[in-house]
Amino acid sequence: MDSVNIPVVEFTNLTKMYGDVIAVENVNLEVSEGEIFGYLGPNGSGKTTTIRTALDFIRPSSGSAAIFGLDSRAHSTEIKLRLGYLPGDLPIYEKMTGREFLTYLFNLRGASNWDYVHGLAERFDADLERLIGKLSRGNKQKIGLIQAFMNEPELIVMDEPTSGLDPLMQQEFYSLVEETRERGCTVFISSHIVPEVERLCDRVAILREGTLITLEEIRTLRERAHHRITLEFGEPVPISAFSNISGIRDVQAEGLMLRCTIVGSADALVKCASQFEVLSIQSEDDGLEDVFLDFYQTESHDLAK
Amino acid sequence: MLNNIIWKTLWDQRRSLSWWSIGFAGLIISIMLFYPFFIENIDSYAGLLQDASDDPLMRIFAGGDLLDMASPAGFINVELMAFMVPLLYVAFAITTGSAAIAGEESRGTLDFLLSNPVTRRQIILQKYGAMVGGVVILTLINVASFGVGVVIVNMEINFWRIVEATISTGLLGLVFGAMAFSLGATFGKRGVSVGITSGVAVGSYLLHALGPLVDWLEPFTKISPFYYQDQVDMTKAGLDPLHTAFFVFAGILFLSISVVFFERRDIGLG
Ligand SMILES: Nc1ncnc2c1ncn2[C@@H]1O[C@H](COP(=O)(O)OP(=O)(O)OP(=O)(O)O)[C@@H](O)[C@H]1O
Ligand SMILES: [Mg+2]
Repeated sequence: MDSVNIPVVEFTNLTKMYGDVIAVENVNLEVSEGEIFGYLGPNGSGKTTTIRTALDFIRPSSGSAAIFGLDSRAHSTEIKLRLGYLPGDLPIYEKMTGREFLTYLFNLRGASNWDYVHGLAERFDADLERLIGKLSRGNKQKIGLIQAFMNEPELIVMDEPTSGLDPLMQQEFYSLVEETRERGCTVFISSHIVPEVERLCDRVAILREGTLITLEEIRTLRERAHHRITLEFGEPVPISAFSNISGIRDVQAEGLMLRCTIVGSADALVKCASQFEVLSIQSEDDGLEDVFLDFYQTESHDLAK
Repeated sequence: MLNNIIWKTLWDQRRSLSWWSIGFAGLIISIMLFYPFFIENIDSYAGLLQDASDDPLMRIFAGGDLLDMASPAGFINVELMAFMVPLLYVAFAITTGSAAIAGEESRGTLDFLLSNPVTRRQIILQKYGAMVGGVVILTLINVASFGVGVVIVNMEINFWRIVEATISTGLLGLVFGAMAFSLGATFGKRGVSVGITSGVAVGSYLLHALGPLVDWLEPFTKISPFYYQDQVDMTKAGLDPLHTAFFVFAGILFLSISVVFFERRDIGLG
């Protein structure tokens, strides 16, 4: 194993252009060993392009990617010996059965533990005997997941790993990721599913139009979460008293009730409310959904500040 | 079987290879079985052959020496080695060569293959090896089919001359396969690879067939790969070393082009 100081994934000014179109622009980030890293962004923001550049399927227009501290172009094969990869839209060999497909990859990678592969197949209840082309989307995805984990790699890169999986299999996948992390594996996931990212990831990067607009720990993002708060007062209160609180939105008064949404800390709201008689406070958490939507929608220069 | 890209690729082709084998064997054996009937009626064909041999249009479909058709070697050349067998070899090789990289790429699986610990160079070499393997398998089938034919009709011929001609024709096919392979590896588009190579194959065949009849074309016949194909020839033993070297050189040239360009470019998602 490498020293803990070397990032497992490191992008330096990574840029990829298709002709004049900039698909990924100047992305810098590091993922350290044992981290579960989420790579998010709206459709077409450049997630798949980044991953494919990092794995040397396509070449950066400028900048570079290093994996395990090794340059992704110069040491492509060494990297791939230690890597598991699940592509976005799994185009695996349709005319092979799952077993044939996994056997082939097992041999190509010089893997040694078929029992583990077998265990994964049982765990996901995967059908290894049918032609992959005849499997349903979710069942095909299971084969893809098995191959990504099967040689117990040090880094697993997955592009939308749970697409097509039913909730039961999603849970199975989450626990597999968590177990894998416990043995020191680093996981890099691109995903659109917010609860999944929230549940799994330690840190996320958000990409918009090819540019990295945020790189935060999930914990920090939670602080930006929206809270829907309902206050009940002993007497009707003037709405104006609340409208200047920072992070407050959608303030509505209705009889003795005041409803509003708070982004981030509720401290100012609570302090302001305390000048009146407060009968009850209810707070509902929206999770990170809205936080991500904010990032996806707001102009990137607003967020740069 | 499934332990490297060569075996896996041949294994993928097991059905299509079987069909090609049946096609080749069916063609060769049935033409060979026709030989005794042809010889029996040779007199009634004589005039026809004389006319055809003077007709440029006929030359396109009946290469070889039409006037020598009564001999076993002449018969095999006119009926099989001059047109049908090379045509099938070229068709097989172009199909396989273009499928090797471009075909896999348009299905989107090349990208995935590269996520495994194999270099791009290894992918090229192994895919190329699988294409050569396919041609070798068909050549074995063809030699066996000729053997069956020769035995059944009791043809008096040195069998080695047939083996040599079959190998030479296989190499001819391989050159076009290698060209399709390298276009696929360079551009990643199966249509481009099949289209250009088929065009070149038809052009070189016509050049070879018509060149000797057209004065201004004559000097160019040597750029056609068909010029280097050795047909069944009882007057000399062994493959022509220069001709064979031409095929091997062309094969290596296209292989090198594939390695160089494939290592440089972006892989498509299909
Ligand atoms: N081969 C290509 N040629 C030209 N443009 C491309 C190519 N591949 C991707 N792009 C463009 O690059 C941009 C980024 O695409 P990419 O597939 O990386 O997005 P993504 O973030 O993975 O999107 P999604 O969430 O839909 O998977 C898009 O604008 C896309 O149109
Ligand atoms: Mg994508």
